[in-house]
Amino acid sequence: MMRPLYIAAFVVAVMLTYGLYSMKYEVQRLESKLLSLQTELRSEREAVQVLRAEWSYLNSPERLQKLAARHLELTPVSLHRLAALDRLPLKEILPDSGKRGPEPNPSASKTSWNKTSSRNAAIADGDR
Amino acid sequence: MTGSYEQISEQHLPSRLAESVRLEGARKQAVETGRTRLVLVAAVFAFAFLVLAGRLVHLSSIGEGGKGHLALSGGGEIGLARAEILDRNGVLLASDLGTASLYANPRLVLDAADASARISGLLPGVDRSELFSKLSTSKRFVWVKRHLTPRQQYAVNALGLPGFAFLEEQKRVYPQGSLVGHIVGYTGVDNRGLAGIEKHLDERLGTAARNGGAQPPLRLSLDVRVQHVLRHQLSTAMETYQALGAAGVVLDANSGEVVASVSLPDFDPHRIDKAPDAYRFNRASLGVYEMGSTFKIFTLAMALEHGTADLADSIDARKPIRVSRFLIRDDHAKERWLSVPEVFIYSSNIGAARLALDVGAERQRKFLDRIGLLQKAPLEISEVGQPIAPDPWRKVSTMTVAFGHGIAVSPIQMATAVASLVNGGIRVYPTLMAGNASVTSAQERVVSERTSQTLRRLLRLNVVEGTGTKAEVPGYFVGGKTGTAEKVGANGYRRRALRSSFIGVFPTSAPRYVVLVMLDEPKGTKETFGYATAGWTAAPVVGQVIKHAAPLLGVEVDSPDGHAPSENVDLGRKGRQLASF
Repeated sequence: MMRPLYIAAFVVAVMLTYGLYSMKYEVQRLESKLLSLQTELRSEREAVQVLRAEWSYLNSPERLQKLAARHLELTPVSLHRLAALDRLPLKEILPDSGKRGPEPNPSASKTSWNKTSSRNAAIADGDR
Repeated sequence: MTGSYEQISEQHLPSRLAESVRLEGARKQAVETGRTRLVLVAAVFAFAFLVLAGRLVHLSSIGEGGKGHLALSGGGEIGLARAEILDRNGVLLASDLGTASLYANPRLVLDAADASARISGLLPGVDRSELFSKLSTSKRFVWVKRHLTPRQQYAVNALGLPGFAFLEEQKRVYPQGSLVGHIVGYTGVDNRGLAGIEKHLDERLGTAARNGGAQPPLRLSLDVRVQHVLRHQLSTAMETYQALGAAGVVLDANSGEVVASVSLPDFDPHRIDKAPDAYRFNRASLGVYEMGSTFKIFTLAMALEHGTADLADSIDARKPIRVSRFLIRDDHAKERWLSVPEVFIYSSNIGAARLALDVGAERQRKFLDRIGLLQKAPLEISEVGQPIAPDPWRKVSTMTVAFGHGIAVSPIQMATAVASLVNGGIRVYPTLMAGNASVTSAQERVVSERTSQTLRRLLRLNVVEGTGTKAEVPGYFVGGKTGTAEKVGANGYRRRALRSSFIGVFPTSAPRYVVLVMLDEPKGTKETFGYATAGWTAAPVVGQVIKHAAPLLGVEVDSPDGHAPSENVDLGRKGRQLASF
């Protein structure tokens, strides 16, 4: 009467042992993976930190001004060329061909279009 | 369970007891009790084994104790020794970078002479004999050099000397360099703040960050773009007029936020040991100066607010006033009766002195105190100058303070006081923290809306018609006041050594920003016809700063043709009406 019970208990014990060991090794594997990921993450974060500092350094206004003076043929935007978007008259679209009016000077229009998205930044671009 | 129990009991219990199982009554009762107890013990054991098994499973799956939790929550954060500092737009002003520091264990160093020769050859700033004496001790730890560059680290590693090793440390870097050096400050080799924000908020930036993990970055009210415009214009002016130094402030007139603050000459926070003391001195906040005629703004405000004068009054400015040993005279004396607006735009010392006398010494002191000129500015840096006020406040003090002599305040205080007067009369407190607007809390009124408006008109008039014409930027309605003070030398005031300043406000219709520029001992040039006074030197700088910075600050150009909602100020001269703002 007792035998099947013993056999069942033995089988269960063997299964549990195997399960326990395989789980233990799985956990060890995952832990070492976690550790390497964390190390990687850390070094990536450090790299991000370095890059942020470098970005800030490379974007320092003084440096940009020097570079702009050397490489760009731009002058500061004169104030009478600045206007808020809602003050601009709407452009008329000619009925026959759908053609718009004469294209504005690209350098001048750039400032005014940028201005729509970010007023400050646009002027900064022109300024330096 | 029951089966095995019966077996055990029949095998091990004496036969006498086995027979007695069949007994009735009290005996049977005792056996039943014994059985129940055994079942109870067995249950306790079973439970204990279950707990053990459970714990075993837990340990193998999760790991050893708390280590698993630690690894999970650690998340690969890099431990910043100090919180970052950002400008108002999120531009990085100060951050930590990991660097390697070289140390040695002298007990493990084989050949101290050879090692010190090689190391000192690689690392500039390491003295050979000093290193040799350090390596000859019997200590276990000596610093060789802190914060090596990656290249130096590689070179030292390549030597392969035993006894030397690296320790990872954090080093503070300032990507904007000297641009914000005076405000942000700097830290020492052990990452403790030694100046500026770094020192004043050392706790918040450093200690707290070390104890409580990552601290959120600190956002300042500065705008590096405006800061650059101001610094660039100031350094250009310094060169042009061969000035000894310069200071400038751009202040939000309504919130008191310092958008830019420059003091020249300045220093590179990375090479602080090479900067002379004079370069580290913050002229904008620590230096207190006799500001000269810009103080007439306060005199006028005070007289108008207390009702001792109004714009239609006339003041006797025919001849200099003599008070004890002082002689109060005008630089470009008109030698006639002046209207109140004329006193302002011709910057008449005599007129200002008379206006102040009418108000009285006590009310003058209280007024200046109320706009924050008699206490230290509550700024978040450690370098804040204590103003110097006359004590006792005599009649002669009243008169000299009226035109900005005998009282010394810092440029930041000056800009704040003007902001409080022109913004509608609400007191502002200067701050370097973004979004720390002081106006949102209890509003302190210092002058009435009406006085504030009159002042704005006078300031505008002075730029349209008076001494400040060179600060005009069409479209921005600049208002302002010049101030030219003689510097104090060994024998009283030196007539040739000037401190020229200009305080500008724009737009005068509804002031957004106050701009202050001060030049120390500017020399006249051919273009200024030899004049070094504020109208010729400081005013154009303010004009340039406004011209370049206003678009960055999002101030809209208003009818650039110059015709504007005009309001006339009657100068009191016959047949003459002046249009101002």
